[in-house]
Amino acid sequence: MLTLVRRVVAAMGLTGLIATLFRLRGRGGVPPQTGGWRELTEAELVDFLATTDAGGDAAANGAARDPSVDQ
Amino acid sequence: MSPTIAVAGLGTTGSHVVRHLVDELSPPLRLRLHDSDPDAQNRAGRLVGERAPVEFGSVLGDRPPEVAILAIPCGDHASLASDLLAAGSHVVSISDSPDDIDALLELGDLAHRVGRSLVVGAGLAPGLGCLLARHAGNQLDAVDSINIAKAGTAGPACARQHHQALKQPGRDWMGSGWELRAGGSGRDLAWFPEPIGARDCYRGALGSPILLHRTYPEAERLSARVSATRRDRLTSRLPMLRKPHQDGGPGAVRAEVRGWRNGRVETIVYAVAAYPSVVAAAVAAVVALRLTAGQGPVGASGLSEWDDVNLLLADLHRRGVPFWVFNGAVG
Repeated sequence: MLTLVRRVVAAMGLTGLIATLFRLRGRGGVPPQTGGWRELTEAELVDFLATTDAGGDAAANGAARDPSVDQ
Repeated sequence: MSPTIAVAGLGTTGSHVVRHLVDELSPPLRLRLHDSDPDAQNRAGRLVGERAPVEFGSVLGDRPPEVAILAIPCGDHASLASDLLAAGSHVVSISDSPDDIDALLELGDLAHRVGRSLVVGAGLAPGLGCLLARHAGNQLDAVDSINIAKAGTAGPACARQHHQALKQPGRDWMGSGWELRAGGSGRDLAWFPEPIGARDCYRGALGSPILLHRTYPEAERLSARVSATRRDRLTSRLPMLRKPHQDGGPGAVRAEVRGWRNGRVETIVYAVAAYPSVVAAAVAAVVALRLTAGQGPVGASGLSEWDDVNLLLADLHRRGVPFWVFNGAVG
């Protein structure tokens, strides 16, 4: 019985140690803080090149965004 | 003489198809309406009123229609489409069942022989999802992966198909071949435009990857998800516990397309949030009207195979379908 308790305590301690290491050393980064949906106009649907700069990964391609749609 | 468009199935989505066909944006048409429920036929007839000549009865009738829209529940689309094609009609099917889609695609040779179009999966997803994916794909040099996600259902038949889809395995294209994945697995939090917002979406027997693969056979990954609640997943193996709603309310579809442009990885996300019954009907109506104008590819095709997807999207926009693009980093 005492052996079981010792093993449980050891397992919990090891788990806590690993979690602490991840917490202190992990580099999870910051999730996206901006972005949102922008409604397309009919002109953008017909001439899809008009949507190209605004669509997709705007953070990567530096496209202009409408700040009013930030979430 | 005005072309005749036949609508088979006058449930929630079929009724909206009729409404779209006789609105002020449509050219003069003759309509042939059929439903196994006489009350549904009468309701659709009242909906049309004086706006178009209407006849009721068999879809084939004495003279085959120029275009037939199949808005009947999943299961019988291929047999009816075969008869209509053989009679010389173009056919538009809104079925989202993979079994129906497979069977309809097998009619491609017949459609080619008779020089008619057989449009497969002309609803919300597949359908509008395929159009959004193709519209995004047109902006990329190469497409690596496409994920279609949809939320919500149209009428009772659509709700039953949604229930079925969650308990059946879905097909994902994984570069070298198709992989069967368990329905209800693969939880993915998908963000739709408001009022839908974030929804957990799962794999299931969904038709979009089958049709998208015809357009993007070189893609590394083609997948589809459908939104579901815990109760949906828990009860998916059981018969439906209560009668589905007459209309499932607001829903949405989104297409996330990842690929390469100018040597850089790009992700484009388009979406539509609206009533699935209304949007699916608008897609079917717009496609049917294009077919009456002699446009559309001969043979069996999904909507992502159409060359002028942007014109179809513009047609839908004119009918009040709002399109959204996601701006910002896509995780």
